[in-house]
Amino acid sequence: MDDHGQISAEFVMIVGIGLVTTLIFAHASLEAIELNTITSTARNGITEGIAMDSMAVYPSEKFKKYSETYPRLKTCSRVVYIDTRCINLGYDRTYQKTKLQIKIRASTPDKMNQVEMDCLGDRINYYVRKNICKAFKTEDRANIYYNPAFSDHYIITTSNVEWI
Amino acid sequence: MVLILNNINVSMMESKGMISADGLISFLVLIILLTSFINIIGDRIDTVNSIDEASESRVLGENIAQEIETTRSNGPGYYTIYKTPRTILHEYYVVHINSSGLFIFVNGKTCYSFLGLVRVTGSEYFRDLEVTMKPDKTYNISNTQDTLTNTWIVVRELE
Repeated sequence: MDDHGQISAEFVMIVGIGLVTTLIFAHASLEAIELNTITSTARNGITEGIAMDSMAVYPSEKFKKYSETYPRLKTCSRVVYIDTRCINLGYDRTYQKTKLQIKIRASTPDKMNQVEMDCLGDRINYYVRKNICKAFKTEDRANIYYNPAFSDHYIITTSNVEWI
Repeated sequence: MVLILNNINVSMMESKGMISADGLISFLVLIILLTSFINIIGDRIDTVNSIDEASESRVLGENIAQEIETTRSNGPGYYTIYKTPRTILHEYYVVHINSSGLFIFVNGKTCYSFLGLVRVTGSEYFRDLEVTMKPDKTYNISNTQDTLTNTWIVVRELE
């Protein structure tokens, strides 16, 4: 603004260039924001899943199953998070969205067989998918196991946790 | 962030009381940043609450199991008073004790704590082999022997 309350030509040009640049990069930015949200909510889910495994607090129906089949899981387990990888599996024709697969690596110093470790991994994957669905408010589109989870432009699946 | 806040405080308003362009842009950037932070923080708070609920269930279960084990190991005649908390993170809960162990049911989740070989009953006549404890109640946990000198842990609700 100058002394007469008028906008200068430079300012108009800068705002114009800014607008055009914003429009050009908007699509890429929104996609990056969506991927960022998926990653951060997946990380929340991993934290929640590992905490639930560590404290052996499960949904009642899962607890009943574990009590009957894998009683070791009724007591606390030590689970250590290692890392997460997000793999792009390309366009999915069924859902007409890009498919992502989240692969988590973890370890446990406790003595457990592979099936028990897979059960712990399933809990972690469940909370990952649940958190993603909650963040994008797509719980109504997913099944009770939130598999696959949906974001605005992606469908997200999880592969079995890799125990090292 | 400090620079942006400084910018808003110091140079957003000019001497004539007009908002400068850089102040306005800084303010918009701040709003955009805050909006994205709010979503991330909201998700994280939900996660923390869920973990808090699970850890409180675990702690409550282990506390009650410890009281029962202490009562058992101290022999006949020993008793203790235990008051259950009002809620677990604002959620109603139920504690169920039987020969398998101690279970806490809260918000659709179950938490289990191990109990050693012990007979737990809610009846002074040693009829039932299970007890249900409710929130915000006071319980007397006592070590009692029946006529066959079997040790029982009696959990009675106090008025």
